[in-house]
Amino acid sequence: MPLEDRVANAILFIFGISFLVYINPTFTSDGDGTVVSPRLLPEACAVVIVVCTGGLLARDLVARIGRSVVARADAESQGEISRIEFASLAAVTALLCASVALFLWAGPLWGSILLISGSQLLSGERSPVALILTPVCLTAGAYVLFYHVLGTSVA
Amino acid sequence: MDTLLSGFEMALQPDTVFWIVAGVTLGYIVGVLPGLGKGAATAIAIPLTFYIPPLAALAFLIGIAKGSTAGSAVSAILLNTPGEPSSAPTALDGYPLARQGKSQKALKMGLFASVIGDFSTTILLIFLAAPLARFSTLIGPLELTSILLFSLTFIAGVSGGSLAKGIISGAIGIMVSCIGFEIETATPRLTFGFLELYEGISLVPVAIGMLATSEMMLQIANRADIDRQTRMIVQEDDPKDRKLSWRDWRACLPAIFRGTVIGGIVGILPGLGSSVASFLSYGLTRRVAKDPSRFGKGALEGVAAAESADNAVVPASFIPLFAIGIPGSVIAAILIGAFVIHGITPGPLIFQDHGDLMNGIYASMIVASLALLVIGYVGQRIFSQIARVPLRWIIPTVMFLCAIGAYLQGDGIFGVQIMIIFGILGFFSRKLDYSFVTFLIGFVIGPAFELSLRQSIALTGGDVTALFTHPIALVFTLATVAFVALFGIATARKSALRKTQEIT
Repeated sequence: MPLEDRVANAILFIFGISFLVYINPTFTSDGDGTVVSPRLLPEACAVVIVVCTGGLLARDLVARIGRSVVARADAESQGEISRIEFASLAAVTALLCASVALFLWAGPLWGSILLISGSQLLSGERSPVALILTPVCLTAGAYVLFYHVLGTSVA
Repeated sequence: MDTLLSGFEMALQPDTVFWIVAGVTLGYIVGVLPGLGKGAATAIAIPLTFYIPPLAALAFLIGIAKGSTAGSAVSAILLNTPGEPSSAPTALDGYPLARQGKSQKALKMGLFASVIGDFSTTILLIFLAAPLARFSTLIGPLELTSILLFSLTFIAGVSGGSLAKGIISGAIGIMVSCIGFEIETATPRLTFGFLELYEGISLVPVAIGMLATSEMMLQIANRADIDRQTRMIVQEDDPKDRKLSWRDWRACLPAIFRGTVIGGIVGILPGLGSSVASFLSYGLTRRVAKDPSRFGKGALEGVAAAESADNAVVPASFIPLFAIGIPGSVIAAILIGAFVIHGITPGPLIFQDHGDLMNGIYASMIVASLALLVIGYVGQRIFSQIARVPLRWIIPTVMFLCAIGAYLQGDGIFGVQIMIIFGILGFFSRKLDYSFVTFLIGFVIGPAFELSLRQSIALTGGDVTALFTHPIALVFTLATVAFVALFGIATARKSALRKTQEIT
């Protein structure tokens, strides 16, 4: 099992346990005498998560014991997420968060412009004309579509 | 038949035809855009119908639903970004076909399969809805609970490489659907003090995040490869690969027939939806194929199976809506709102109180199927041009539309924040094989599952032996247990074989 997979299973296992022990009892009322407690379904889901991730972790452990050191190192080195994919995840998340912040601080137009221009830059666009024209065209197009064609408002 | 002919008289009025064509065209365009599915399109268009007569308004919305269901295949095939979860299996083989320079062929088969599936179940709807209203009492809460449980387990098994991971995804989906006011006590559940969460989390930002945003993250990472492949499509686009041969039809017709039947059945069963149908159809077609290893690498039957089932669900899901008043899909749920706006309550009495309107709706649905074929075929070349557009033009547009969709359907900027969170989760679920489809289906059926589970417990007092007095529920429960056991045995055998190979 690659390392990322093991980490994900471990995180989900810990999440399931903490959901059962802390999150669900704290943030969901027990229903106060109702036939079915509001906690029942989320609790059942958490149990399923704990059992399944526990099973996956246990199976991995058993497989590791049976494997040679070389085979173990080989299986672990087959990572499922590359460094460039992690970088892309971080960059897009940062861009979206910055756009939301700008939306709240300066308004929808500026948030939209940052989102479009930032996405262009991340996609490899370097032409200044395209970097200026695309946000203008897209925001104007959205304005016409929603305010004039569909007759509804966005913001 | 006479009543249906009178319906055609109403449906073929110029203004009604205009709204049907407008709906299908708008739906097709929206469907092509990744992240903007039929639910979002129909919901956005509802305010437009305030000033239109009821038949034209409902025909317009149904046209959008049909158009966007078929259109979502275009983005799935060309961009590997399904317009909605139900088109995900279309992308599995449609995208490799596009990469091989056979996008036209895949798009044509997707369109024909969509129209056949859609048209067939529209006929099914016309013949079944009214008689079915009499038998609506057969599916009780216990039956519904077991059917939903079986569907989720089955999808968990077939949609990814690991049943355990699929089940985990489904459980997380149901868990997320529990956020918001609890249905019985009306107390906030898992809201963590955020007022925005009291109403629960809207499907659209979650789906956009899981499907479109996460896909954009991966496409940005792999843009150099994808752009190179896009250039290769242009070079390899052979005229022979654009046409559907008789051999293609002979290979795909059984898949289309299978998909239509599955879509019809799944659509009738409330709560399952088109994702279940398209994955079931795709999985079954792969299973019965002579060479299953072709699937995922560009098998045309995969596109036919998924699209016929996906589109067959839309009219079929109106059967429980019209007959019992229960929405069989997200789109049916949104349509309830449109019916109510025009003073009509869907349910068994609709045929009695609004018989003429129902005939008009049936006829409009047939006209919409034909419009779908014409618009899809004529516009296909225009839509397929997207494949030649470099990623640096597509990604900003998609990201912008994703943000707009999440904003509109997800309580303003909060929807965009939800989209970001589920975009990150979608990224990891894609990379680590935690089925995002099972997650989304779990999320969508979560409320219905909880309601039926509660009703079942209240009815039986928690007595499991009550299952024996409900044969339908018993069959589905046993099927769930058998499926898990069989899948578990298969996995154990596979890992034992792998271990043996490692040793030798």
